Amino acid sequence: MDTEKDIKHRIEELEIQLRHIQNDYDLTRQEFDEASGNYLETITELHEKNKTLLDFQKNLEELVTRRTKELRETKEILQVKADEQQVILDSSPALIFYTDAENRFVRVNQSFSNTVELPIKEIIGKTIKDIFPEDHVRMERDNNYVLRTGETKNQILEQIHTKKGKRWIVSDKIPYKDLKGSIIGVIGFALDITDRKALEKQLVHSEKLAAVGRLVAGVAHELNNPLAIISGFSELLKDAPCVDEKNRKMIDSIIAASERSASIVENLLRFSRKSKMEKTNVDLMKIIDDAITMTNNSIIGECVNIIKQYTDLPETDGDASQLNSVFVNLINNARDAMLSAKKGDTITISGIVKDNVIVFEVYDNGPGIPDENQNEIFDPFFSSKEVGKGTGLGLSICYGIVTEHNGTIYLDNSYKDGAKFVVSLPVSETTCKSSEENGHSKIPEFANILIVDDEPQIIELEKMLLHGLNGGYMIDEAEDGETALELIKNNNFSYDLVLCDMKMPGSIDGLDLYKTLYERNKFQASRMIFVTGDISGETKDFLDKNHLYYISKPFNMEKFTAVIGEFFFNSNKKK
Amino acid sequence: MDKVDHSKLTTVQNTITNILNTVNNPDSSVKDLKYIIEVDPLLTANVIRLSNSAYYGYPKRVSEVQEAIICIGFDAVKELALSIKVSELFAGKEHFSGYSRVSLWKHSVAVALCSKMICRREFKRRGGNMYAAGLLHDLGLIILEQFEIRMFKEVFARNRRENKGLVDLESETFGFSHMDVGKKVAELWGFPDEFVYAIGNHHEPLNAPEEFSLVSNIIFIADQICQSQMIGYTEKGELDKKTYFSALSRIGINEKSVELIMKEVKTDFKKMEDEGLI
Repeated sequence: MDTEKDIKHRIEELEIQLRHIQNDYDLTRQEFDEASGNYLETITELHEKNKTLLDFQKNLEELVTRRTKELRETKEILQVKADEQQVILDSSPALIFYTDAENRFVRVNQSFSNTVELPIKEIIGKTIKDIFPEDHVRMERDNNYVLRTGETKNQILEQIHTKKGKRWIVSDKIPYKDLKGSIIGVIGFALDITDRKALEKQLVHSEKLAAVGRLVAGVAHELNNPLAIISGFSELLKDAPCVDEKNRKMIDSIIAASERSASIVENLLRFSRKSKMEKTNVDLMKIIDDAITMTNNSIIGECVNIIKQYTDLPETDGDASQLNSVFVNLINNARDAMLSAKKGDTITISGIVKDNVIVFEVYDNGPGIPDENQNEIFDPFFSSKEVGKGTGLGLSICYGIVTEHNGTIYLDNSYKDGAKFVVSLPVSETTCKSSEENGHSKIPEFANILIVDDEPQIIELEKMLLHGLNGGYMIDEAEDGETALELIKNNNFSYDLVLCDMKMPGSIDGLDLYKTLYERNKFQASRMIFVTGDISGETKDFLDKNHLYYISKPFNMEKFTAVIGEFFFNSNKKK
Repeated sequence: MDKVDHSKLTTVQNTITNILNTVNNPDSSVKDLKYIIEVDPLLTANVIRLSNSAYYGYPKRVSEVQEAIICIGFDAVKELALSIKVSELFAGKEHFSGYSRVSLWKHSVAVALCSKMICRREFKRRGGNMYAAGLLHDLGLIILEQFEIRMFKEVFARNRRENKGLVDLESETFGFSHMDVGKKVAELWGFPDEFVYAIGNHHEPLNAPEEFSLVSNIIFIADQICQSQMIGYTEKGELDKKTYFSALSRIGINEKSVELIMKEVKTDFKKMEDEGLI
């Protein structure tokens, strides 16, 4: 049985326990609240972190979208720029290329592609050796120099082999550096100067020709005087009484030889001059007939036939004698070739009209022209004949004449049975009247004459010729312009005739004399007849325009007499 | 004294000091404690492992220090961390003359539990400090044992043979007691003043200064009662009944309360033992 004491003890214990538990509970409660607070804090923190993360993610997404858009736009701009660049690069006639450090092509422009005849895609990635198998060693050497030293190599002149043949190019090679400054490739610009070089060659060639021309003109001029003397005195000699038949024959030979020489000189002069020819209506049929006649004279006995194949041909505008010499030349060339090769016997000349152009074909059945010579036949001084036979000027003169007549002449090398030349000339646009020829002549009984020439022998000759006409003429002489002027002044400007050489040394030549006289005494000026070795464009124009008389050297008695006669006839009329 | 300065104990000291400071600082947060623990990976691992033991009765799995703090409580984690750290001091299998580190540790834990409970149940105070003080009150013994082993052994042998109190024997042999040593070390290590005095007066609570009187007395009482119940290491000799009752009246609690509390302590202690926390 529990006593009171026990119960009291028990209650005491329980009370203590209760107090203990109460205290503990309160404290635990506190701790719990704290823990809850902590927990809530942590949760809130987490929540906020999560929110930040979500915001960040949203921002990131927006950023990505924006950046993607920017990127796409930039890409588009870049593409446009790249296209622009390509257009610019391609429009350049220069060859533009870019190779990397291993001499592989990274980029080329259209001109480059055209030159090597490969599409751009097939060039990129290949090495210099692949594209230029014959030139790569030299090119690589230049490239490597640039790559190694970082220096530009300018104005490299080189020849490259392409499918079109060899081309000359001038290139610049420039090192291509990256952002850090290290050299990663070579950029090249090259210009194809093959055409320019060809042009230069042509220019040099024409200048040479011009120089030759000048030389030739000079020589020809010089020759005219001695020739005049030879033929003039020979003619006079012929009529001399002491000359017998045998001697006369020898003199004829001399005259023939000098005429031939004169003809050669005339050819030379024609070659060298920029002549303005007399333009008249020219009947080509007649000219060809003349040419055949002329050459026939020397063909006699040599069994060459000439066949004409044309009927009615219109006229052309031009110089009859010049066109004549073209056909003479072609016929002579054909004849000479057939003779020396002992092959062929027929020359055919055909002519048709096509589109306002008269086209002649002059062909033979001879040996033809060898391939290696075909490019040079129209060059001056080119001759396939032996030395001494032919000057080589023939075809080049023909070329000049035909071209001056606005026509063309060329060798048809598809014709293999001989040589065939094709000459085209435009149909005449106008008809013009041929100049009238005066046939009138008068030789006066008495005249006061002044001869002006720097060559004493010519003076002698002219004197003899004049005395041949009429022994009673009073003849004065002057060897230069100044002396002539003096004599004229002393004679009161009243010579009936002043026979004056055009080209004279000293300060006054023929023309100067005329001009001086014209100002001081028109009468005396009108009494001048010019003697000239070269009747070329300017001079001829001047003389014709002023209706002045002239005799060209070398002259024969016939010509001389004719001009003098006409002169006196007309001047007497004026008086 | 200065030998103590440099030793392997220093690392342990740092952590303990840090924890104690957190304990004392009313503003210290979950984060602060978390950082202190997480700096020491071994400690972290142990804290998390032990947080999951059935002792704490939390149903869900704890895998993080922060989680532990929230789920089993700030104080609980504090105490746990402290225990783990302090137990490192007691590591080792030395034993002689009735003394072993293991038994001393068990005694310290018992004193800690008891002090804490007294504080909470009688004085309605949280008692975190009490727990720590309890764990550390015999710090001096550890120090002496580690650094003056020969003389220490002697003292213990004599305690067994003779019936003199440990403190007296120590004073005779060293000139100071384990209380003094403990106090000095506590000071050296920068423990809060509360601890310094609790450790320094745990056999003479009545000598403690006024502000620390409560702490010192509670520790003393707990120490005495645990020894009388022979939990862990027990000093040979008579309990100082006189001082005991003075202490009780000094702080105003009665014997019965303490007895009842002790019952709980034993139960708790057993639980902890079973769960491997000790």
